[in-house]
Amino acid sequence: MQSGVTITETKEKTSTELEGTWDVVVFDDPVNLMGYVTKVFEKVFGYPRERAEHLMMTVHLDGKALVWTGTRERAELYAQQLQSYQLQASLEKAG
Amino acid sequence: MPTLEGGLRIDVETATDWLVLEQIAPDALQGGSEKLPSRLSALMDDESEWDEMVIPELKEFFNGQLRKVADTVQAAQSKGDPEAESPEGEVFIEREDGLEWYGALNQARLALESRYQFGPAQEVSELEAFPAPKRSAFIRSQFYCALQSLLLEHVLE
Repeated sequence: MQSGVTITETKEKTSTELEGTWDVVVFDDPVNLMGYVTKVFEKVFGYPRERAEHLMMTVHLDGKALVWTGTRERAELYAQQLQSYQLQASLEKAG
Repeated sequence: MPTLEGGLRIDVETATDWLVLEQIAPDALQGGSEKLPSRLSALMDDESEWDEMVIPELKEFFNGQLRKVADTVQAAQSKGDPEAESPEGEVFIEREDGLEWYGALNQARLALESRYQFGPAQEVSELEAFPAPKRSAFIRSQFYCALQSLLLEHVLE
């Protein structure tokens, strides 16, 4: 009985925490080619070449870039796609 | 060399060429490519249940890339005349396999970089000072990178 209450509270808390907007962040690595990263941003997000190149350069120069912001569910989908292209990606709660 | 069908053809001229092509999958595996999905998603939070939901899928996907490359190289080798003295042959990368090849080469380069930590732009003088295994790994990594650049330019859409 007691454990049931605990589970419910935890689920409610988790659900609330996951609401709101989330950032998808991509990190730099020593291997991925710049042209490839640009292509991945074009393909995954449908960004035009200029925007994809700008984001790629931000990753390259700053070590990371915020590439998309939106719902948690969609952000997870994008993160999974980026990782399947071997880019390191994570989610951060939008500030 | 780009093909008319939108793929690439690798002209293999020496036994060493075959060895380098055969080494793509082992390089990726020896460097711990099994751990690659976990490394790529190391910064994901616990709520995402990435370990259970995504990592197994990524592992299977990455293993599939290595299998494709290993099978293609093996098939190309078996087409050659076993009685012939010359090891010459051709490896075709079909357009639809371009992304799998690119991914497998990337896995191999990530693994070699993680193991030997070449860093950016190695000087030739530094290269000569490397121990033999590191030097040969660096040369393979450069070859893999050159092949990726060709795939990027001619094959990947």
